[in-house]
Amino acid sequence: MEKRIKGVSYAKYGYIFCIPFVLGFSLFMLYPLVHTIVISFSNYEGASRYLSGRFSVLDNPLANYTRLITENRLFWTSLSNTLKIWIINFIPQIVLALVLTAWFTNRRNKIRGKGLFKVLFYMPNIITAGSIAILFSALFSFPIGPVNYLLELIGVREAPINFTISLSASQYIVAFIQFWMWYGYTMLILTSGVLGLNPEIFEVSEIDGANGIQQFFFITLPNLKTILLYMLVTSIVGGLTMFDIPMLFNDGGPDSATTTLSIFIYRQAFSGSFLLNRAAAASMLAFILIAVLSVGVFYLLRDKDAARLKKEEKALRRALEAERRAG
Amino acid sequence: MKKTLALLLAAFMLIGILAACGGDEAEEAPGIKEVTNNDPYVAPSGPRGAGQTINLWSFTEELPNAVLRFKELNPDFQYEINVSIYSDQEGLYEDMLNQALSTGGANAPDIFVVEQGFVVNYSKFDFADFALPYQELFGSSLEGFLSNADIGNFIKEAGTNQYGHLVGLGYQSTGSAFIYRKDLAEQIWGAGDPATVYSKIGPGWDKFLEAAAEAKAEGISILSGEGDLWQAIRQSPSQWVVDGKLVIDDQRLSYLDIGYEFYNNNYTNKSAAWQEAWWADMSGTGLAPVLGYLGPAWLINYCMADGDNPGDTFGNWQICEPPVGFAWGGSWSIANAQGNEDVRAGVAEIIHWITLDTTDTGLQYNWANGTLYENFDDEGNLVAGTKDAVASGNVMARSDGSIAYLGGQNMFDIFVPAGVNGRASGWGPYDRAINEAFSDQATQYFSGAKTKDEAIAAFKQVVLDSLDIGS
Amino acid sequence: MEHKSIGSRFFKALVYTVCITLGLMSVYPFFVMFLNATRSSNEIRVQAVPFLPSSFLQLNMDIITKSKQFNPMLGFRNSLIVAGGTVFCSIYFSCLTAYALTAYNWKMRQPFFTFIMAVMMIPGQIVTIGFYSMMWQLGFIDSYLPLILPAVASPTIVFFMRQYLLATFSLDIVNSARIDGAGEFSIFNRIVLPMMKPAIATQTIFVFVGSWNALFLPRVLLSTDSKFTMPIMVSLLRGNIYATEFGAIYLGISMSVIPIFIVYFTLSKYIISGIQLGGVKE
Repeated sequence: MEKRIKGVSYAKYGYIFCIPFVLGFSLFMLYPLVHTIVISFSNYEGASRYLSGRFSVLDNPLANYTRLITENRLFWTSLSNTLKIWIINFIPQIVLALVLTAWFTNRRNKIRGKGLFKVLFYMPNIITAGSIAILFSALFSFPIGPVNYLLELIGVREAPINFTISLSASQYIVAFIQFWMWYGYTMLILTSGVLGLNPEIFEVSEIDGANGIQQFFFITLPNLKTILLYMLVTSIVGGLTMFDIPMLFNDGGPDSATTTLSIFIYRQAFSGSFLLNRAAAASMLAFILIAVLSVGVFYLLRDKDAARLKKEEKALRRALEAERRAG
Repeated sequence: MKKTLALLLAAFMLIGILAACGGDEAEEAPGIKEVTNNDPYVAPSGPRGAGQTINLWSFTEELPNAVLRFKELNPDFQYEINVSIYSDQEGLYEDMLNQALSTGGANAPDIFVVEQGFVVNYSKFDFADFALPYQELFGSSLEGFLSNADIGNFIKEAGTNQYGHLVGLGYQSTGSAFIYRKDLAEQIWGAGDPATVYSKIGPGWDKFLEAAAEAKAEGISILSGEGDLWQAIRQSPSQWVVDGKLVIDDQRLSYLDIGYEFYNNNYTNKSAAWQEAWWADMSGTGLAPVLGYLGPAWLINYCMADGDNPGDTFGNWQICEPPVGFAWGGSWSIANAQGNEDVRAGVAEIIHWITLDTTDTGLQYNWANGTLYENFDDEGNLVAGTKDAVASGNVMARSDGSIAYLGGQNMFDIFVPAGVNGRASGWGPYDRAINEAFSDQATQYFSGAKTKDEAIAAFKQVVLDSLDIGS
Repeated sequence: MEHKSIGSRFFKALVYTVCITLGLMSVYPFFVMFLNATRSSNEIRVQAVPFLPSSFLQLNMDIITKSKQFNPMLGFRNSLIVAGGTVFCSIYFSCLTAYALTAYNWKMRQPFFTFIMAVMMIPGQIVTIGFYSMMWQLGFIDSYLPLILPAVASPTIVFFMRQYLLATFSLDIVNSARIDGAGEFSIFNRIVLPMMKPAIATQTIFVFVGSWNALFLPRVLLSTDSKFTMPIMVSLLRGNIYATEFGAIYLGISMSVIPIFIVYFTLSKYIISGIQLGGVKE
């Protein structure tokens, strides 16, 4: 694929240029990661061990994990909350982003002011999640607050709703905040992906008589697989590690309804009992979950044709090799 | 290629394990810290501390600003004060403080300030080894200082370690009162003076419940929210955790019943403390007019009377004894036992000035009378700034606690005896998390989402899951 | 024809309605924020949703400047240093890594890319607690280095830049430069990087915003107040246990948002024109 000049191989530069990344990763991510893994197998809990920094690996290294999975109800609650809030946030988000992308890249009906809209839609991403959570907490405050005021004004309710003690209301609001902060970003990335597509494939389909909707579903989407993959994975990671918003909106409450996995982990470590080993085990479980979901997404969105092609290529090559050796 | 990858990964893991794994040393039995310094404290004079730094840690600007003011007023005190402030949201301050204390070295705090919510962690429980007994700062003079200052019992109690040595003192007295609106009391009972009102609302919570019903009949909420009630009731003399087990004592359990009555009879505006509606009730602009709040002097001076929080109600408030005495809040100053010994003289001087100095130049007197900072009225006259109840009974007896917000009532008349009613025996290391969990579940019960038994069971489960404390 | 035109108009009406609604929704909190910065705390408590500005801007300003911890100029400068450093490390080294993944054909190329995707899956929080504990042990606290250097390994940016290069990069320019005797590294710096401007501009916004708004790590690693970044200073405004000065807080948040707006609107033309990401290579 690449031309060789005077027989010089440039391949080694591939390795060399990646060194900074590997160094940065090893120093700042790998070591803490390994540290976390080791702690999760240990007895590192309680104030005295926390102070001395000394601990030892348990006889049964998986004890922390089994205890979390079998005995800790809050762990499962936080896990289900996290997934629930993520789904409520993500599905509308990706649907809206796709719809907006379809509209903004529609070849027949040009929308004016696209640029302005794009700039506006991304704006919620600019403020910190924390500030937004505080603002929403004020909006939904009880008994007097703008939303309650509005509801009474338009006659939907007579008495104010206490959003802060309603489990499902809190979850929906947190999901909405997340949705609202990220839909613009998602749309921008998807639009960029569509712009990168070869216009010829669209022109060909138009000749065949495909309309906008058909074009979108049968041409645009399949070709955006890598971008979609990226969106899904980053959303999974972001969703499963949501911390700021539920924390600052209602402190993970009420009744642990908005306690996400990250909040659970943080509380294990810093509620007063210093259960750092369990926090580490929960972190690793979260990581495993993310990895499983991501691999699942990878598999679903894999390029089946390319994979088949690769397999055939490999088989062919092996056959040729075998022939050469035989003959 | 795959083999190389596997080898690399194994190598990394090995390095990680070797680096991180430390042998579990036999834990040292905590010896009784000997109080060695019996020399009487000598009040310092002349230029001192030049070129030396004292690390002061706090969670608000309040005490650091006061210490910097002390430096201004005492130019011979030349220690450099290095202030570290971390706000206490999400327990950040405690976390940073613990890191700094355990790491030690030049960045370690020399003096650190801790709040009621976690003071006992540093005076009696997990981190008590970092608290330097005051005896080591002041020698045999300490006894005299204490008896002279006449400090509220619970303040000393909270700051006394497990061996009976004093390691920390608060500078405020946070014994609490019932702070009420005179005009509303008159509307309900015909009279608004403290004696009458106290006879109507107390003693005891059952009496308070009756008073709430009487207030309701006039369309007045007796409190802003149930949380205000919990603030008082949770201050039980017994600990949450006894012998490693969670114990719900009768006083705290009673909150479930009392709070339920309040909630379902709409005796309060159901606000959450520190949120918009709670603040709005201070000026009577909430859902319904609120008769009063339960709290200490700082609630009045720094919250209710601050800025335009009082709205039109300024001057219309009075205070009387609460139905059941309790203490809420306060900041304790502790010297780091493992801090820099070279600056200990400066540390002693600062701590003495904050808590034990009863003269007109000490923090106590100036804090109580609002004369620490220069404060001018519109005509440029020097007037008293914000006053507050302080730890020293001696100082309060000599001070004038009358404030305009209370229509001229001398708040010290109520707050000095209130200091007696505070108890720190029930303060424990897991209080913040447990109190929050209990209040959370209680609210679920009040609103009908759970039955009482379900709420209690859920509470125990949360404590077990988050803190590994069974019951 | 008639049918198509009506359908087209209906379509456009629908689109514009939805987009304008979304646009208003997106801008609304900023509106609230800036207005609230001019109102007093009490006004905000009584009516959280403002429609008109009020007259307390100077008062809130006084509250902020009275607080010894809040020094906007200093906060801006510090945040700029950290965000600028992060942007540089993140973008430069991600471009370098992405270039390595596209321009050269080396054996471990695909596995390494898979490895980078895997790293993307590691949640930051798992790393964070171990990371700042490690920094405390090593004594690297109160310095900007542990805040900036980790950006060297930014898997998401690498992914982006790689996608961009796959769509737009061709080896011809590189080969002619090689013939002229240029070294690989200088080829990257002088030829490839300038080619990647649109992608760099877009990612700069994302990285800058992320770094500027970062609160947790700077908060736990910086202890000298002269080093505090803007978000830390704003968070300290809320830290006063007595009074939550809402007006001042909104003013603080508004002030910290202004530089982001500047960067954002300066680079927004790249958002508007959109960049190509990935593509069908034939």
